[in-house]
Amino acid sequence: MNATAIIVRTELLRMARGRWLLPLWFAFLALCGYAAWEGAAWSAQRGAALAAIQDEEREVHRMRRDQIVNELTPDNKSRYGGAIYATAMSFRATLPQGELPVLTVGQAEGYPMAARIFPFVASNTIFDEYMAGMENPAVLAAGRFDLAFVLVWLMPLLVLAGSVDLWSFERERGMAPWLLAQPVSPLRYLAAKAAARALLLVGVPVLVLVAVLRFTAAAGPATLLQVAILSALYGLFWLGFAVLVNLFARNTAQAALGCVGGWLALVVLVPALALGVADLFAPPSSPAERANVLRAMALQARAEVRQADGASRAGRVPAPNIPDNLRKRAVEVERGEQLIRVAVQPFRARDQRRLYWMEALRASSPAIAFQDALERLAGADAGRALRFQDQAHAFLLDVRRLTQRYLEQDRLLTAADYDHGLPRFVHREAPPATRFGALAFDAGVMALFLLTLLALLAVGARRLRHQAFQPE
Amino acid sequence: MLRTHALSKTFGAQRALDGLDLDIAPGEIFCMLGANGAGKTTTIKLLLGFLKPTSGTAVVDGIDVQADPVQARRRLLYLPEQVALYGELSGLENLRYFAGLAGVPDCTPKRLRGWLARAGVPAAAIDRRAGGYSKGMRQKVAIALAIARSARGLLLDEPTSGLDPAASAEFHRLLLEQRDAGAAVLMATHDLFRAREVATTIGLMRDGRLLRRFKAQELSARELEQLYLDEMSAPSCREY
Repeated sequence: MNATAIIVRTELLRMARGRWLLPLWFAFLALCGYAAWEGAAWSAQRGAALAAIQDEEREVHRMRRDQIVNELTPDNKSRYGGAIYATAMSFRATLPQGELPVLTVGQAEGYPMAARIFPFVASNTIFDEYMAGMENPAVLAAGRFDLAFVLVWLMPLLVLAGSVDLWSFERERGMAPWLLAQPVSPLRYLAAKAAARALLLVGVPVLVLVAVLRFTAAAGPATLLQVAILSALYGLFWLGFAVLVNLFARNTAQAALGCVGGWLALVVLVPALALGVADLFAPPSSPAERANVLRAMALQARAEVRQADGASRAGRVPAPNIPDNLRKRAVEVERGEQLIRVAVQPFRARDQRRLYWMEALRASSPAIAFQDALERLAGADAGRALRFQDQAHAFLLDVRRLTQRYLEQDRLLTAADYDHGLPRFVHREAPPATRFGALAFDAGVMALFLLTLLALLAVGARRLRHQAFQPE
Repeated sequence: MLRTHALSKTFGAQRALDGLDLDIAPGEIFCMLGANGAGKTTTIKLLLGFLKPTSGTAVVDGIDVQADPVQARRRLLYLPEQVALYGELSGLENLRYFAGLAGVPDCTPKRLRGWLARAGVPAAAIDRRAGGYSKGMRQKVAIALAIARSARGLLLDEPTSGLDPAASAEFHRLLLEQRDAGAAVLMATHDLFRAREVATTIGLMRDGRLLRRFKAQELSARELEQLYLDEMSAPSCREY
């Protein structure tokens, strides 16, 4: 057996005989289990809400179809006027849950999960119904107790708690000179010790996580593998950080202070600072200001159209199938869209600038990159929510174009149209290459941090022999 | 076996070792005596490759320590003042670990027990956790390691400091066994009387320089003590 294997085996034996390993594992298992249970409950709740929205859409369609069947004459005339048309083209666009929604709520509650698509409403109002009262702001501010919280915030503490004395123990106990005098290079010695800790403090928690996800989510092996790889990278970064701190600490108390300080900096302070930097250089657009501007545009459009139409109040004879007031409304909406498209440009530019900054700031801490990766795997990332909004808007435009054709032909919907001719919203996920690319970027950030640590460790390991004889 | 040639080490303006020439043959025990800061531990550090010499060379069994420190350490056993063992492991497991690190083949429990027994570790203590071992017992485990490794050079840095007289006597008995087995021993110590008893050669060090070197049996214990006190109290050339 070579020296590396002997060090690994002995380190495993020492840790197994220590009193803290099992409690740490059980604490992690309990936290993961509870967070997954909470996540599953949230996911079930959201799933039920989405199902209710889809049920509502189906129910509305069934009622409208019955109306069409009952209220249309055989020659496609309305028995009671054209109002039936106005309410017939009503749809819901829903954002389905991702593959691993139990992983994290992420930013899912900061964005609408559905849209009400109706051809005669302004595009800026289609999400209104699903925006109000979405979440308690206190919960949003504090974050949820989900698996991402356990992994991003608490897993580092587990790794640090288990490796805080990786070398400081030997130093504190006066074993350092005796150990370093053995014919093994310090780097190899440290690497072997770290490998043993990695097995128990990173490998086992990752297995626990995968097992918990296997029981609570219907994710495929590829997704579970991605979660495992990302979690392992993040755990290894923290192990590397603990080793680095150990190289400089004179005793375990100093090492503990260094580890906790690093955790505070990288997990708590840097993300907060990153947000501060983004706010400074790319402040978010105010939703209230945006809503007011867009409402003003809608009102302006209505006023313009009504003013232009003021002279011709008399109805056409014979009356068209679809009443003219719907055509006026369509013109009003179209004019409103023209005004909104211009008015929304500064807000979009500001949002784009902020998105760019937020994407770039992912690289400022492995904790941010890891949180981002988990949100993407959970399908709870902002990018997916914004893509859904774009698709809902596009769907609205499709519905409007369809409506326009009916208006131009003055043709009412028939039951056959309803059964076969109406569009249905289907959310399209980003292409696999795009999704994988974003995850690879996050993994790359963590790997880069880890490689930097390894480089520092390779240099720092040379300090060991000098330290060995320094008094405590 | 253990050789230094014009070995010097300075830390900033302070010269910790000044042109040390040593040649310790197999079967020889060289005791370095001197006050704290005389350069004894620095010499050991340089021989272990823990420090880079400012000038000169340190050679172990023909291997330049700076060129290949790991190979040099393979031939050495270093025994510090405090031999610390992993408290969670038994004496046997500790020995298996350190012997394994040194590449000792066939570390079977039977052989490990044999080495520990030869070093004087009682059979009842071998499987006990080392957390409860006395300092003397820990030193014996280190000697067992020296036996297991058949170390060709021993570097001892005040190994009996703090040991009770019986444990100290036992330690020196084991040391003589190692010498008889052909080990070259360099020992830094403050214990003049034990040094005279076990050493082949004694060197007096001060301010990083080897002031005197003589055969241990050339002087009586009292003469050695007087010589030591005279040398240590004489004005240093650096003070002028």
